[in-house]
Amino acid sequence: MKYSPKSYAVALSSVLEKSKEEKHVFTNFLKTVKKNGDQKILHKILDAFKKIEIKKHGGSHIKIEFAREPLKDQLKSITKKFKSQDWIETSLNPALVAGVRVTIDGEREIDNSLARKLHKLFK
Amino acid sequence: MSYDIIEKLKKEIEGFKHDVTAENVGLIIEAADGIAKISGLSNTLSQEILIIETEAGDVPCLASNLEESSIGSIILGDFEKVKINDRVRQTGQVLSIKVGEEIIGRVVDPLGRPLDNKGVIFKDEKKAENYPLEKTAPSVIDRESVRTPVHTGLKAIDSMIPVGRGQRELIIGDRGTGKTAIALDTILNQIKDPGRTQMVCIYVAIGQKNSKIAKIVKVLEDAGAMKYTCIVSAPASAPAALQYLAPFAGCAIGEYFMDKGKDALVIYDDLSKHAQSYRELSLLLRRPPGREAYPGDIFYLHSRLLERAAKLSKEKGDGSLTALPIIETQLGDVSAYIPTNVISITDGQIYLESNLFYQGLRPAVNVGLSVSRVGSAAQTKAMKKVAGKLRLELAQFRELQAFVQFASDLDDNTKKKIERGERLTELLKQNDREPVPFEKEVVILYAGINGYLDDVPKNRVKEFENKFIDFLEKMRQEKVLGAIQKSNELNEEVEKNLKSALEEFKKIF
Repeated sequence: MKYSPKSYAVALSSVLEKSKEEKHVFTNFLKTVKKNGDQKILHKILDAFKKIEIKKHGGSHIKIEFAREPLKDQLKSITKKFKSQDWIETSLNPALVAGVRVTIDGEREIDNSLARKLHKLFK
Repeated sequence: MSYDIIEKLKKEIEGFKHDVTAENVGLIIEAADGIAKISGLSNTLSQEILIIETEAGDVPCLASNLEESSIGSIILGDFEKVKINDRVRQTGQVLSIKVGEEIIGRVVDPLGRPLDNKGVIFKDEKKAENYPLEKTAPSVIDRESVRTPVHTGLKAIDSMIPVGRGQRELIIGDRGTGKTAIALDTILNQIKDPGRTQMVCIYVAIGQKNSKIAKIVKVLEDAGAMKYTCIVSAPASAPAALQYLAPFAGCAIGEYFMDKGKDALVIYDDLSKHAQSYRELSLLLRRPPGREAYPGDIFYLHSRLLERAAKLSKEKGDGSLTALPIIETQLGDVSAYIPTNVISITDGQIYLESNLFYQGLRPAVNVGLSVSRVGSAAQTKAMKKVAGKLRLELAQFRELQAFVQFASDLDDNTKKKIERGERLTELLKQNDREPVPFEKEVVILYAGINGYLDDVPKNRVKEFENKFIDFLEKMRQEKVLGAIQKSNELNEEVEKNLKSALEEFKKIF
């Protein structure tokens, strides 16, 4: 039987909740994935797991994209705005031309990039 | 000139305001064969238009499968531009088409874009209205019974399988049996039916060859029928998504005219190919396949489309939408999945047979298997008077037809019935693109059922018909043809005039 990434993630999350030996659980989990020949979907499983864990702790997945490398102070002032439970991920995306784009849980977006402004202007 | 353009652009840039707000956004997680899977956008509506922002520009797509964690969508533009991780935004609008009076005479695609190189359709956007492709059919209260006929100009159909305005009559038969020809004749005949309000015709071509569509446009243009016709084209080369949407677009255009109190006629040519394109999309969207791999809602697909054909009540504007769906059968098998579905949805069917077609009986209508469940209520009194007897005579003839080969051994009465049946059959033959106005159909059928053709040789029946019509037009236009056209009746006085005209004509024929 083929398991979906979500099923793997839910199972891993609930086992981790009960067990105290995290390392042992992760090793067994990876062995199970290998045994089932599902290494290809490992990244999808980890994404789903991440989502479940963030939700469980009452946080959100925050993705911040910068057009250029941000200054330390800039990064600090932005990350300060979010809760400690939030999972913050930063990345560089030159396609934004200038500015910053914040995506929350892959569903809501605050786009203050020049690329977006140009797109709106020429629409 | 360039200075003006730059100044205009400068003003636009100066006046541009960009408010940074939180927006809903989705991401493409899978894209192949015109289908895209989107994550996010959890509050998307079913049938909502979404915009995929690709590197090469915006591409619209239609939200079809609303699943727990993703959306299955049908890409309506160039699907090769779509890449993984492209952003998708909502529009809040369900799929609709711009409709207005100016769409008449045009060839458009299912999204309302012109295909005929005649420029933009609506010079004044205010005159156009947005009509959703998917709409709930009029309720029982909003409807009334069918009471006005749609004259097809084909004697066999107008007399024995009459179609009413607001009816759904299926045209079914094998390939090359003249299904499209019947639909085209019906469109062409609308110009010859001055006794009733002019119908607006919409011809929807689904999965047909571009050359065939071009030929149809030419025929309609040459006959002056494009003045009241619009063509929705989704040829075989168009993506399955457009073929699936084409009948709904045609129906939306028809509904616009129906809501304006007009009578509209929409021809879906054909729903077999429509079902196939829907099957393709459903399989790509990974919906579970059912019988013949069609999805489970294939019946609902056609029933919700055809249910939108209606005759509206006076309170709702008195408009109507007549539907003539076409189904292509394989080797005359009417009991296949899609044919039986559509037969059960419609208010009757015109069944065309290859055997009859090859025998030279054109239109190749099998009168025994064809039926119109509501159309007789819409038939004019004049036609009713001749049609009842015609049906009976032909039914008797069909029973006796087996004895035709040893006709010499039969009694006189049977021989007469066979001979009259043969002449009536001959009378019902009609050439392609030569629809006959209703008053002429009445007089010629009257002559046939009352025995005026009994002594005319079979090979001269056509000649008799043409010459008699010519005679009436020249000698009795007002008293016979004009009178029937005005009153829609064959009253005693008109009948008397018609009889005397027939007797007079027979002397010179």
